Amino acid sequence: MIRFENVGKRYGMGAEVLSDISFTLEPGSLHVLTGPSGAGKSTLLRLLYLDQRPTRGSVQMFGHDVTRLARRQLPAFRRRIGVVFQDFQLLDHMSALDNVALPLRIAGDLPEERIQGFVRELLSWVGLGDRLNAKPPTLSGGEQQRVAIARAVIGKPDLLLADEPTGNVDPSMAQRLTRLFVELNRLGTTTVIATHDLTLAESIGGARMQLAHGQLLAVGGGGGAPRVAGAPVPPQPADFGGF
Amino acid sequence: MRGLVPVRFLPRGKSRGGLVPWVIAVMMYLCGLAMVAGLSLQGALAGWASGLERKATVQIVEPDPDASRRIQRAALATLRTMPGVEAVRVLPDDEVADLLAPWLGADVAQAGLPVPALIDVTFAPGRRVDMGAVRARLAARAPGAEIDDHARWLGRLYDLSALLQTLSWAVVVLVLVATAAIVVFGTRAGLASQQRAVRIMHLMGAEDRTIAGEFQFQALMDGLKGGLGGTVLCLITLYALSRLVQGIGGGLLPQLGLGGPALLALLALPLFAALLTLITARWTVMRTLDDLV
Ligand SMILES: Nc1ncnc2c1ncn2[C@@H]1O[C@H](COP(=O)(O)OP(=O)(O)OP(=O)(O)O)[C@@H](O)[C@H]1O
Ligand SMILES: [Mg+2]
Repeated sequence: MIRFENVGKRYGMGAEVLSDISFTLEPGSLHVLTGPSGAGKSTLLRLLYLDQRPTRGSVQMFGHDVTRLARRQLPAFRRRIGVVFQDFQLLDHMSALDNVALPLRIAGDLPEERIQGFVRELLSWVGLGDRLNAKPPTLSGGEQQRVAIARAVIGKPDLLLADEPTGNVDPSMAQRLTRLFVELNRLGTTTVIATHDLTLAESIGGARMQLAHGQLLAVGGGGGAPRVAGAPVPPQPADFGGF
Repeated sequence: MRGLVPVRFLPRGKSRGGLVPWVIAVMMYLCGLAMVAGLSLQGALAGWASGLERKATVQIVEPDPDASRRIQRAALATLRTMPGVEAVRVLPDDEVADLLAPWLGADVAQAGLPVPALIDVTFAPGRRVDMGAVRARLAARAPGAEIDDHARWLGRLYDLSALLQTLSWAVVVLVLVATAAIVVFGTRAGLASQQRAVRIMHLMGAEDRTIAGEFQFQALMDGLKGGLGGTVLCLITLYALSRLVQGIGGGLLPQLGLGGPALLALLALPLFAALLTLITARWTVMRTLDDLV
């Protein structure tokens, strides 16, 4: 469970980009974070994936107030979070396989053969079984995006965050990727997807978190805190559910 | 490899500055030379000086050959009866001529110039000889014979060697500091050019030591390569130098050859360089990562 309480964030000496943000994310819930450009969506996600510390308020995550944790305690939390960055942030000099394998290698508790096995399985699942050794620059935007998503979920994170995950692809690819996220969420991962594309937000469903001028206006999910979009469905794709 | 670097995430090859190992090689070359100089100065000068300390030279400057021979005999007799004197030897004229040749020309003897008579005195090892007493006895029994125990010269030699040694070690320290600085700059440049990869690793939950792992491995390799290069250059230089010293006829020059400690130090240099670069790179990366949340 994740809980923000009166969180505020300012960059440097500037005005607050986020003010008095309070919400709770139940385990396994699906949320769509919307708001106009500059509303603070990316900033909110940065607080969630522990890239930034809030300037005030508290952030409860996996049973700890992460704002009070020492710097050296944060990596273990980050390893439980998968992030799909707006610009993918893949390492261009590494193959798709190596990019996706990184989180497992960082975690360091699986032997290399098993890591390779899982990565191949997952890349096949997202339709890239034949591009395992391709470097990101040789992949299309949609393909890169799927590599980025695969990297975000390979470690079976407890929290999955996506910032404009369909920003660079055509509508049909956007639909497919959206279904991928919904599918992953059904496997039990708490998911937050930030987008300013309202049509996309509709098609994802889930609980709406709407940001405007750094304030959170919760919509949908029946008022109050955003809630789970639908009852968790048992894992479907046997091959993915296998690990 | 896998044991040394927890996770590989940096591009291999050309993106890395290939210059760093070369600079380290030059640094380690200088370091090795200074180190050998420091170590062998210590040994060579100590040995050389202890040899000289046991020696003195009696000089008889007397133009009349008969008078000169008389004084010589008296001096020899006096010296032989003195406690602590192990051996005395009159240098034959041709040896004296050889000694003078560099200053007066090869044909001193033929020129009929009066040549001083020289007597080599060797004292027994481990005994303090009272030079004042020796001097007084000689003055009484063999007036005209002067003894020179090299004391003044030896004193200067000691001062010089102490200074040179201090200088050598100062050079070693300075070169090591400069090497560390180069590694800091090199690592910072590497961090800057791989900023994105470092940030991605950080956000995926890599521990600082995991991120530092590959940087410090690369630094270790640079240090090893540079250290080996520097040591090889050093050995070549010292070999050439010792050949040169032998050519000069090295009775006078201290043996610049490699004593045991100097050789050990030289062979340990690559490992030491690797350790220095590794620790420096790790420290640099860890400090830079501290700036991330
Ligand atoms: N690193 C930063 N330093 C200073 N100000 C920043 C920084 N990042 C974002 N901001 C400011 O914070 C505000 C919110 O930015 P943020 O990127 O969170 O918006 P967003 O909702 O993600 O917008 P978009 O839809 O365009 O991506 C903006 O006014 C932006 O200028
Ligand atoms: Mg944004």
